[in-house]
Amino acid sequence: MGQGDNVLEEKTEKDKTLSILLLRGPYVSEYAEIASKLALTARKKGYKVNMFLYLDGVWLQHIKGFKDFSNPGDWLKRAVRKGVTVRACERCSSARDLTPDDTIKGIEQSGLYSFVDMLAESDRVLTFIG
Amino acid sequence: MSMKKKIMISLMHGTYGHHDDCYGAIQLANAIVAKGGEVTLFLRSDGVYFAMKAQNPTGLGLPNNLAEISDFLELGGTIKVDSNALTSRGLEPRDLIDEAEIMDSALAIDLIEQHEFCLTF
Amino acid sequence: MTETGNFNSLGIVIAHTAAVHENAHQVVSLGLEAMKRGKRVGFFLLSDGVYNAIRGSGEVAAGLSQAISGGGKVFLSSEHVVASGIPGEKLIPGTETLEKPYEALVDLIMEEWDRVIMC
Repeated sequence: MGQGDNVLEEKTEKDKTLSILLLRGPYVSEYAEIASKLALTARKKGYKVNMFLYLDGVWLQHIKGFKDFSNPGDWLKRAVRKGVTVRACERCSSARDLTPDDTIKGIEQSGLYSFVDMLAESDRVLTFIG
Repeated sequence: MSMKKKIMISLMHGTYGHHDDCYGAIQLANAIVAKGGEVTLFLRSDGVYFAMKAQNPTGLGLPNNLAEISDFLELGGTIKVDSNALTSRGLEPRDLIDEAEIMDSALAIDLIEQHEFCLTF
Repeated sequence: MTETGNFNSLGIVIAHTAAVHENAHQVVSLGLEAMKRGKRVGFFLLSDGVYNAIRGSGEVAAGLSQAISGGGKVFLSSEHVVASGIPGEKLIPGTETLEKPYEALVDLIMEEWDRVIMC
């Protein structure tokens, strides 16, 4: 069990959806971790949660390995595992040579319209940019 | 899935030095309006530079924002500009594209009321 | 789903200092304007945003004090306040430091605030 695994023990599904748009990469700021922690906490509370990685936010999908220091990718992996739907902008990923086989499993690279679909079904939307 | 929501995109980056932020914002705005949503692009802070009439980044090898803005307006999008942000940067309305509507900063709260979501870029 | 026009409360999440961008000052002004119009307003400061809660630190802190005086709420993430080393006595009076910031923030976003803006 790693960080965040203990936060989803009791959950009653709620009929509301939160979508999170992450525009900044890991380490340059705390936003990648905050976004993932918020997503995980909202899932714990039973909300449907979407995350879309956009612009430099797509770098987060690339933080796959173990680290003996702060690991924003670990939070994202846990969010994926606990049922947060995570998509990464295909064009932004391609621009940064982030291929699907070199990213966290369970994250689909897709076009911007998939985020528009997320918006269409959302009750609240948060953007993380600095 | 069609999109019926009213979305406000609050853009605080509009320079070619941080081009990905404003380019990403207008790409998203165009995707939303193309799927039937309503979008108001609210330019504040450095976002006001995004609507400069005479911009031309050819020498930088970057696409011109005006092409994307043109698509956005054709698809029914609206652009509003924070008057304080404009004047504090030594600019006037005539420096911006004709379609940019200048508005008092305090009225931003009306925009928030009129839209379901506010996305910040 | 949220209905356009159903706007009684506004949440403002601030995650950076006023020195990084004028945005922090703008959103506090926006919150004060919303309060003038009778909206309930809450500010949630986390990450570097907590530095804005140092009493006397500038216009943003003054605006947050004004908001509290007018009935607004200013919440601080405990883990970020601790990380910052800001002594408790230097915080703006009336701010509420939350021990479980992410749980509180999700509750506010999903159940309390009609609109949320990020800064």
